[in-house]
Amino acid sequence: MEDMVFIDGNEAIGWGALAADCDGFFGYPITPQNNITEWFAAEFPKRNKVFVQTSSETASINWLYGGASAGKRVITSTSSPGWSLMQETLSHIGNTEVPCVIVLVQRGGPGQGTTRHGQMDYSSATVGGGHGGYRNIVLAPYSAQEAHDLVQLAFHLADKYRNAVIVLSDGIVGTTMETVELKKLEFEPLPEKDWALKGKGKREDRTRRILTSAQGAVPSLRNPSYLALQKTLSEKHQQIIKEEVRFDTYNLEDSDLVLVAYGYSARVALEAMHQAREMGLKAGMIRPITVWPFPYDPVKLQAKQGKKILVVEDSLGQMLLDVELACGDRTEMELVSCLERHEPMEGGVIFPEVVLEKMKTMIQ
Amino acid sequence: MTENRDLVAGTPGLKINLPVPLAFCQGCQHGSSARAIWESLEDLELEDRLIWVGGVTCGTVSAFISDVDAIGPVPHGRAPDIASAMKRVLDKDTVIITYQGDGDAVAIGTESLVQAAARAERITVIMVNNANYGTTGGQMAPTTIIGQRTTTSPGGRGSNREGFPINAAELVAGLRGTAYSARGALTSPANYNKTKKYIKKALQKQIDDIGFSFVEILSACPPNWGMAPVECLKWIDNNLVNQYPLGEFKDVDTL
Amino acid sequence: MVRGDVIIDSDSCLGCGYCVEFCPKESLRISTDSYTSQGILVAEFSDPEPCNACGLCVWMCPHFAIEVYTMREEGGD
Repeated sequence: MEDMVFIDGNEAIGWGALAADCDGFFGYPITPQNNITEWFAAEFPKRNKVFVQTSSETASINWLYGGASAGKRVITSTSSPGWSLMQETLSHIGNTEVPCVIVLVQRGGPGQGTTRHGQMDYSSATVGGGHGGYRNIVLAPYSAQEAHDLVQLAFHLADKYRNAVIVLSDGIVGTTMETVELKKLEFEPLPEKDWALKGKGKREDRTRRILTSAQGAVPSLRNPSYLALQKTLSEKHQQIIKEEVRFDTYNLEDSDLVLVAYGYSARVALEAMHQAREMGLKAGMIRPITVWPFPYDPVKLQAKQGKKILVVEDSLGQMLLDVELACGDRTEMELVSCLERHEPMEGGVIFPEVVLEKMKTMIQ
Repeated sequence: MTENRDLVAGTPGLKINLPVPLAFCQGCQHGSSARAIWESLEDLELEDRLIWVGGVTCGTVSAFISDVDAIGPVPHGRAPDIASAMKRVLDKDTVIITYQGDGDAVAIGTESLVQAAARAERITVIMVNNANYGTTGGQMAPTTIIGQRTTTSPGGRGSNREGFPINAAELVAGLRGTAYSARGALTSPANYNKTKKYIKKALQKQIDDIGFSFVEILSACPPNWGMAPVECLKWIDNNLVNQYPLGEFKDVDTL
Repeated sequence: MVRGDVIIDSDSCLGCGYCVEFCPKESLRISTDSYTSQGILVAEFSDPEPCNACGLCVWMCPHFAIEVYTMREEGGD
């Protein structure tokens, strides 16, 4: 079924989840993603799928944990303050190893912050905001189409690795209406979820299953000791880093300067790159699509080739840390940060002109 | 010698062993609560369609030595959320129970518990109440009674500074979505039998799709109460029951 | 008159005394000289004669340490 619709990035999440045969949504109101919750409320029950508005984000993530442990495809959506509330249970999910998708529509932070946009949860999402050293795959859409597509990839990767996957959106990607082609993406088939809980009578041999997040005291079949769990996580992380990096590149070959940006900043940076090219400046760009695992190698390669690096992100510098990790001090690196927003109250954004001015100081 | 005798009572059929040794403290009644639940599950023939959600409590050991699908320890206080999600996404004949301590259910878990009851969620919450945070060594809990000494109320709980204990069974009974709420104890064979009856009635409310069901079980915690086990049972009968009366607080067939 | 046999597993018994407390026939007591490897005095079936296999000790035991059997009559079927 192919359909062209005009919807915002938030609603695109809903259609993408539907295409991925998602079974349940559990969520709570928070701006700027309320129309995600409302979309699921309108579209899921009539399709015999589960929609529940929970009593808090802490509740949402625990509903997600329950639904995931039952082997279903489940999703929640929130914004930055709600994301903070989810950390303890994300840590449990990281230990128990059950798949689920969390959509984070970033807004300005910290604290109550703004109800608009921001890119200030990057570090928390990619390094793991909760305790214990788990890692979540983080996908960063920059358009409504990509939001629709990446949600489907998120469900697939979650099931493939028995891991939480974060879809890292922001208030601008979420609320900007664009043309979206609704389509069901195909992925490699995955084994059945033999580990899922459903009542032992539903298995042929009537054996029971247990799930735990406390292998220090209680062994599970998959991880019969705490050390076994650490080993499993380590191997899983290495495999994800090796096989799941995704990114887009633009005009890299003859570039003197490479922009690095994700989400709404990537749209800004792309516009600045086009304007620069029109002026004869040789600008290119790398756009991470997975921010964990981060595309260190392609960024490092550019730095090794002597290209200057300009990071654009609506924060004080979080993805910057990953770019610095990739580049070391091989080349000159600058940041256009949230301090360059055009307006001091919550509606301020980074404009392409600001990025262009910065580029001129670097390669003109 | 073994040929001429018949087993009358012994280890419950649903109890299994884990490869690592797990034991409760001397006289701890989590084991007895688990037995009451296992016997109830067998009486109602629920073991094949049951999921046991264990909270953060010593009693979650029982989840792992039960021959049923189980998960635990789930994040502190949140067992009703996890159970509710499972109930919503799985086949309707799946029976979900939570097993939580008092510190888990009515401190951090208050949101989860009250909301599940208000939603009339078709799950059964079993809260084992030993009036302290037992797992961590005996600190004051919302259920610690006035005058009771704990490691964080060494002078005895005083209402001025520490306020008053929470009666979970009555609290839950006051919510419209609750179909059944009761409190039992395990201080005598008669009380053990009554508690089993409460558990079965609670499970039946779930099976019959009526509403939320809740059973609170008063339980001995000898090392943290600082009394010999048999003294603990007497303390429950003579002291704890004054704050937490036994009986059924709500029992309806329609909400 | 039913005769009962009570088997107490000394590896599981933690000597809490509930079985002793609730036995209506006073057939059980805490041993004065039988210890577990943890140094706990265990319960023992000290007086089998009055035991009628009511099974209350099994129910009250929180550590699953007890099994109760009925003894069949000699020469019966």
